[in-house]
Amino acid sequence: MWLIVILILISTLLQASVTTLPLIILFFLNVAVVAKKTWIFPASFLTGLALDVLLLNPMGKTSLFLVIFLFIILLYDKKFDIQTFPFVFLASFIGSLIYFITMGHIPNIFTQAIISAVISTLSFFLLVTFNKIHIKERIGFNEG
Amino acid sequence: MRKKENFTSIFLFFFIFALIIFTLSKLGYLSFPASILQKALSPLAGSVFSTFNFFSNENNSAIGKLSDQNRALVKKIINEGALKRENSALADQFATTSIRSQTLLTAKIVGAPSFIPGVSPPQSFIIDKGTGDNVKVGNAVIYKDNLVGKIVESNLYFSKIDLITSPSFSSTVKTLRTQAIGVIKGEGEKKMILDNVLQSDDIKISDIILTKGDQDIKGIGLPPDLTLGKLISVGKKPSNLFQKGEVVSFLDFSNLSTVFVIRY
Repeated sequence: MWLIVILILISTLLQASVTTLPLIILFFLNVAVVAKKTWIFPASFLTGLALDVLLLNPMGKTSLFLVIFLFIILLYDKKFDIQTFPFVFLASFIGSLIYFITMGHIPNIFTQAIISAVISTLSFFLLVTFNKIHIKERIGFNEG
Repeated sequence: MRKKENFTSIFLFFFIFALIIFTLSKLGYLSFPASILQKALSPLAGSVFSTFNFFSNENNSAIGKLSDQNRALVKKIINEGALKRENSALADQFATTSIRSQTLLTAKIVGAPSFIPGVSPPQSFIIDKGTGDNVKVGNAVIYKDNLVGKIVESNLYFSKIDLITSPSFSSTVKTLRTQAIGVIKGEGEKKMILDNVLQSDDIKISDIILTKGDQDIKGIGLPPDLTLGKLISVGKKPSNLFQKGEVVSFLDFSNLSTVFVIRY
């Protein structure tokens, strides 16, 4: 679980200070696709608040976006297999695009959305590779 | 089936909670707790930004030196121009470009949210000075007589600057050589667009663009004669009502770590 907390912290700080890429969205998308657990809602809510504070956005803006985005992702899980590369690519691309439009005044949103989708798909690939050594069990994903 | 119900109820709980916080924040009820949280979290974000900035500066040290020299030369040209105008207009003391040091507030950049190194230039900065330091929305932010941007949001400890290259930035400007007046707008990349310049006005490539000044009675706004950049292209078509041009700043925003807020 500490691994998750550290990764959230790193992604939040990077997104708040050096890049406009929605690293937090990509991170939670990957976690939602792999873990499919409800604890991602409080985690994304709190992370969204921290990000809003650091970016001087109205508090709750990113939290709202993250909670709705993850809800839609998990809703898809009822109908389709979401643990596929095309789904992760498309979900991160569309999610990033909507995030950029919501936040406003971000340049090259199409290019950045593609970069986000590539990063997300690569990290999903890494997660799938790591899962061969049972990373899910090691960070407590398979409880219940 | 049971799992789905739990899932939806948790979503609804956090959705409503986030909505309440967002509404309260929009109404301004959460500005104080937000300021406290910013104060607590910003050293971390500032350290990350400084680390990236350090590596970026290391890679561009030679270019950085040349840019500094270029800025110094441009400043000399501007000062010379200002002196000429002063002489011809005699008592026009307000034509000087230098800002009194008492009105300048040093601010450290703690974040550049819309910035991907090597991909997209920064469009806004977060600085470590807020309303507690008498920073107000609309204040100009400079670096060595070059306009960096304008304060667009401010709370107790922090402020957000929209850079001159940001699409949300626009201002009335003039050229140093002929005093031709136009309107400049950020384009989202490193460039700005100079527009609304009359066809009869004389503008050409390499002309230096300065602010015309739009301060109000409280001193809030852009002071005159701050450097915005130089013209790199001019579009003059007889069929158009106005001339257009592209302007680039002398500053490399990605390498800035400290800026100065002009406050009155």
